[in-house]
Amino acid sequence: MVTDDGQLYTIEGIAAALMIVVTAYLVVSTTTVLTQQDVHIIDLQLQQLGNDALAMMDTPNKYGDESNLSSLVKGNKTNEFHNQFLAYLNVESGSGMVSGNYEYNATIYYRNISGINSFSFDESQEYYRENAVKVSRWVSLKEFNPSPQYIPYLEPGNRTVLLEVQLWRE
Amino acid sequence: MRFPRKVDREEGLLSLDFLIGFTIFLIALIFVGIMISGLLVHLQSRTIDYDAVAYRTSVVLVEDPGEPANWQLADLQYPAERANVKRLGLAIQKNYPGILLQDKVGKFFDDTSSTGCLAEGTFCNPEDYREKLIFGDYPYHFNISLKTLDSSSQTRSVGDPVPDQSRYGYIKRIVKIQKPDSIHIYNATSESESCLKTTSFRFNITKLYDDVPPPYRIDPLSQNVSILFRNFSQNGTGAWPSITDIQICTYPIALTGGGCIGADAYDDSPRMIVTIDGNKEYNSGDPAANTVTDYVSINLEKGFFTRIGYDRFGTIDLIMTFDQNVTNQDYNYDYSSSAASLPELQSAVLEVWVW
Repeated sequence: MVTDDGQLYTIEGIAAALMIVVTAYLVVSTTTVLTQQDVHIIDLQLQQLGNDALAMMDTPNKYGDESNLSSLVKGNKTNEFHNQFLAYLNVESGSGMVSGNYEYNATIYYRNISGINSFSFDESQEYYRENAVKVSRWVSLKEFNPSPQYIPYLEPGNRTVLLEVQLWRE
Repeated sequence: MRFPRKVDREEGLLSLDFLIGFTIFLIALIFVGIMISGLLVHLQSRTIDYDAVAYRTSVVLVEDPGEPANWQLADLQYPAERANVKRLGLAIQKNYPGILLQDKVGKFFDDTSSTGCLAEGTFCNPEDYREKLIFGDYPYHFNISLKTLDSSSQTRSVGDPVPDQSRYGYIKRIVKIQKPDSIHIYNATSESESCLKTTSFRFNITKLYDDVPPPYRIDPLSQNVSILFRNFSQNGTGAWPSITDIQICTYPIALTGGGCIGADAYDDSPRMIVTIDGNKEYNSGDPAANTVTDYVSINLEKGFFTRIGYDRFGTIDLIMTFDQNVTNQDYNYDYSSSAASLPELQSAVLEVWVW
């Protein structure tokens, strides 16, 4: 014999379930503010530092000179790039204790007749899954005349490439 | 009271009363939740707050020329000029973030009182820095330090020493500082080669501004002007030339309402300082004392042109008159006349701590 023992009435049950689900969703969505907090600020600091370093490397000290960054990328001078970039990142005024120990890898993105290509320019350490940021800068290469192995199939002449640097703290 | 084997037909059912009550409860809970989240928005952790203030401070310093943009010319001895400085940005222009003007850097770090507001002619430390740079009602402690990448340079700091233990906001910025151009040197000619008693040094501000972008620009309107006029010689009778008059004139008169003023128009800074042979100052009232045997040094202190109302659209002549012929040409104060170097940039690091 079928009775209504132990059962919800159908409409009431569905309504109750919907209300509970909707209510739970509203409560969670309105009361929980998801922020990355400290991680976000540290990312901002690192990104600002990387952008500053690239911008200053790309600013010549004398009017009419070629910028350091342009010269280094054009000449495939990875050792000098490594030294200068890390020198900018690690420099301190000496007034307080700050953390350093930065690592990076730099990739050049360029366009040629086959489309957009990339070329691994330099890396201080292999990247795994560290908390990293990316900074980039357009680099103007005047009278670019590369060897065949460097930035393959980028035609000689005045070219502009995108230098993207992935940056993280060790 | 429950009886065994007796079937209670209402058992396990959800009553309408319960549903209504539960719904009202949840609606109330939603409202409370919404209101609490609104309250929580105003609360921030200390680390985020200090880091954000440090970042904001660095942006004002590095990417903003300040308000007014030529605040480095303000004479801080006058309360009105001090009050006129609204924001202490160090950039040369807003379109060139990261390029700092050396005069602004110097005034920011050097013209500061050790503490309080007792010394005249300096920024009050820390009140002016809080009011014109860090902003906010909270009395933040801060340390702002700058060091050029030249290893021999000293660190320049303003603010309190950075604490070791307490939490602080921090940011580091890489910048370049514009060093102004050096002295401009011009040579006189012997009397036999000369045909002019009057020497004119022309400042074509528009041309100086148009030819070169701001980071590398010679800017007589906001930087010191140094001229060395040298290689004077005796005339046929053995007499050395003597300065009879010095005037600064602007053209065109119709547009700027310009005219000429004498070298000794002002006694206080910024003014024109003319030194003869390195040991005596030009005196328009005593022509006999203005004899030149070696060189004339002319220094226009930064802000002099602005003080007398000349601007970037003007053409300005510095005219020196002698009692005998000393040259055969007029001179231009331009990029080719700088003796040692044009304006150059120097890398530096700027660090900001706030706590």
